[in-house]
Amino acid sequence: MPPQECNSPDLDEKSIENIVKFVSDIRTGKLQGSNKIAVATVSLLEQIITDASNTSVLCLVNAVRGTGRRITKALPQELIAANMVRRVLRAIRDEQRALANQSSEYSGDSLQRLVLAAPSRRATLPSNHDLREPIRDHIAELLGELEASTSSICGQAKEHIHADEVILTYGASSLVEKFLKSSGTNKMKILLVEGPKHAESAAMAVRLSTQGVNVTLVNGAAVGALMPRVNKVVIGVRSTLAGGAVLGDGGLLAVTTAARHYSVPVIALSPLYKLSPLHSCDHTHFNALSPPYTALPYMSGESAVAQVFAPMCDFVPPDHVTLFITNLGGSSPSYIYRLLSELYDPNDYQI
Amino acid sequence: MDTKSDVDSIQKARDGVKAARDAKKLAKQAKKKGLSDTKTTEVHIDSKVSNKTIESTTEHEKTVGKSSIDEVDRAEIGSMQDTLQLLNLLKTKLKSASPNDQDIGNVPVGENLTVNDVVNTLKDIVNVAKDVENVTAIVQSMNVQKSGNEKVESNINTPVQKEKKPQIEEKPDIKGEDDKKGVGEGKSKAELKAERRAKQEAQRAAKLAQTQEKEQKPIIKPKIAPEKAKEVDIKKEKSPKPKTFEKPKKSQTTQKCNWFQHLHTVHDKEALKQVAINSNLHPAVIKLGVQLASRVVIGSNARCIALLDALKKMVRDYTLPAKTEFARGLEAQLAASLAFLWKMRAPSASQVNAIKHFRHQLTQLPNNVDEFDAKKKLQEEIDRYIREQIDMAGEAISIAVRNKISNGDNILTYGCSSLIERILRESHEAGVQYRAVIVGNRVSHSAREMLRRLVSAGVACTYVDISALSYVMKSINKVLLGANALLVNGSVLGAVGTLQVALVARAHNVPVLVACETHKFSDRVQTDAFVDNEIGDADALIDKSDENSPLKDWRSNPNLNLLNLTYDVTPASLVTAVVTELAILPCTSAPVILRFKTSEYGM
Repeated sequence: MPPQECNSPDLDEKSIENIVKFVSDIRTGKLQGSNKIAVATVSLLEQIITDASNTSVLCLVNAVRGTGRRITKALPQELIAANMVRRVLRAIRDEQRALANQSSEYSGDSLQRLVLAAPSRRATLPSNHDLREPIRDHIAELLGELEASTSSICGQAKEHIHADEVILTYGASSLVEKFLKSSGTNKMKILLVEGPKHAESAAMAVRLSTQGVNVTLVNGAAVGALMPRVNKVVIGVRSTLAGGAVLGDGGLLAVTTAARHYSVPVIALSPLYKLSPLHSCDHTHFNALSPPYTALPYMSGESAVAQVFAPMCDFVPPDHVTLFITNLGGSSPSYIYRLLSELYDPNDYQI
Repeated sequence: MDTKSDVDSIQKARDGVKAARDAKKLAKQAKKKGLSDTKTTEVHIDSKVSNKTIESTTEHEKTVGKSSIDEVDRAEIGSMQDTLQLLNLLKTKLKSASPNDQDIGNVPVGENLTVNDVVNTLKDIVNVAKDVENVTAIVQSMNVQKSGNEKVESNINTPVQKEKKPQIEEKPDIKGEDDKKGVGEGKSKAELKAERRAKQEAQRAAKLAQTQEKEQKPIIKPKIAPEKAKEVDIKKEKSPKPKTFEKPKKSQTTQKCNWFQHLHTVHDKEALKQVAINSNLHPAVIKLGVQLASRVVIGSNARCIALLDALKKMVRDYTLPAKTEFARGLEAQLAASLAFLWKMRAPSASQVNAIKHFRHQLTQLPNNVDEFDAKKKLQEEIDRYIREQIDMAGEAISIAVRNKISNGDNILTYGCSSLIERILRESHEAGVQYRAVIVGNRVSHSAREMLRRLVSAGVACTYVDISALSYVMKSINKVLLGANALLVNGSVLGAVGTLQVALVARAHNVPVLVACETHKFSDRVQTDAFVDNEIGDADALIDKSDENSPLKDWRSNPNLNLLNLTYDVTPASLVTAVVTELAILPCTSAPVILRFKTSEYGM
């Protein structure tokens, strides 16, 4: 949908300053961790909505959308921030509909209703009504969901992890760590495969082992050799894409390929805020290269001549994932589209 | 020369046995005394436990009582003021440790609790042992100053030396036992063992105190009830000897985790300790052994050539004992050398095949062959093997693969292989324009070595970590892999990570070629990498550049393991073809080649 025109510029000076600060915080690594980024994005949007001078629906939508555009332009890999923008946009639209006494039948309805629906609902809206209070309620609800997402995912750990199982996990992920800890048993064996950030993986292995869990740390090369002994692969994701594909740490595809070869189920832990309505079919989408010294130290002489790649993300196709675990429970990759249509307004898929 | 060294070694062994006997006697005396002094306490313990039915529990408690009593007793004995202080400290430590022990004894073999408690107890024991060591050091220095008597000095010196070693090695050993026990009975056994160890430790300390006391009160009268003595005797028989000296120690990695315990560990330091300096082995063989154990010589071909080279030197310098057939004499020497070498590192398929060939040649020698002729023939045979089986085969493979590389190709390879390096280098020299993509992993630096060699040869190179494999695979035209061995079921035994490369290549429909000379074909079978593997140095996983890596003291964490496998097995279904010097074949043709070679070369 083309963006609506609004007379005033969508954002004022102060909001733009806030956005710049937010972006630089993420770029410099001050703000790390997907959950924290999500919370920070929502807070930023709340601030912008509160500060908005014009409180009409159109202008609020424009302000939020403008923020989303700026963020995605600055941080193309940070899909979570864009997801949060979509969630807030959805909240605004819901309020608008509620105000216009229209049921929110719009998304995912039958073709007939879509055709018969009134084409110009916006025209009937009272434009000067202050929507900010109910929107703030929605945002508080969203923040509550973000806060509870980890615990609600970890609450399902008991169903998936049992004693005496060999669980393989890839790279360091705080969510996976909590998930494994809350499985209620200490008797499983965990094979922790170190990802590109091996120092974090090592720290995670030490933390888990001090909790009394048997942890074996291995290098990424040994995944193929170990996979026949593994009962389940549990992975954390960077983002879940529409259609059930997964963006994960570099090297994840090799792990899931090995799991597929040995028919080992792969469980992807994906809180709802990581669900992104975008499609990708290529490893270059949403990807970035880390500095090459992570693969080959600058000190070595041959690094002057050789070309070195160290990609940050890996794209895992939907057929490699057996099960997604979200806040709402388990779902198969083919069901992700439905969750997306519940979370976001189709108009906001493209910000 | 030989006989002399033999006599020497026998003499040494005798001395050792004598020293051990002396030490035992002293220990017995010390313990008897301890028992007699504290009989009453023990009776008390007995009555307390009497309603318990499990015999092991009671026995266990007694040992606990005894060990602590020993310590108390020793504290009384210590007459010198300095040592007295230290021993007092030790006593208090033991006391704090002993209630813990009793807890274990009373619990009827619970699962989690006992394991943890045993670990705790062991930690305590180690602490105590350290203290004992301190004391012994002080005692030793004092005695050395005081007495010029040689006998006393030797008496003190031997136990000290003995003691230092097991302290380092014993702890992991016990831990392994903890892990090993699956049955309920095993648990109490392990506990008992631990207690016995504690007792031994105490005995050793007692020995020292004893030797020092010898000067003052030389004889201690045993006055114990006969039944007690019996019991002690039984226990003595049961208690395991300090096997640390006889058995090669397993490394900690294997002992910590059950599920890859069967894999043999390659542990440089352990193997290197066993190098026999004054043996009958040829110096070249010993040198090779050290090189194999310390991973100076790595790679299938390099190991094979180094082995044949060492054998050549051995044959050259071999002196035939009188009245011996040449083949038999050399065979005995060969068997001894190989036993040593295989202990240093398990043989690769190439080495096994080379030895088979060599033995075959040895048996082909006529009975009455002249020594000089036989040596010459064998050396020539070794040279021929290296030339034909390794060098010319490599050349043939290089030519065959070169024809498969076209201009503009991206060739991916994993790790370091001398054969692949040769192929790529020679293709480059032949004027083929291609880019080599070298995949490596963080732990083994072999891929960097490969990169260095190729870059210096002028090949255009790209280097990626194995985690970036799928990122580059889309642009790859062929994957070229080296192999350690080709198993008879068609699987490829390669460096760890080979399987993953083959899997990702298959997922992207990229052809996988394995280059492998026929001398690496093995008649073993392996379904996956866990049937047989080598565990490499686990410390390689620790980031050396990071000063405070959290993994630094991973050995002290019973739940944490680092696993560094050496090989993995790629099934035949993932390999498009294997390139040998005979032909480009599907992997499943391995048995055909093997049969052909057996008839042709007798290997």
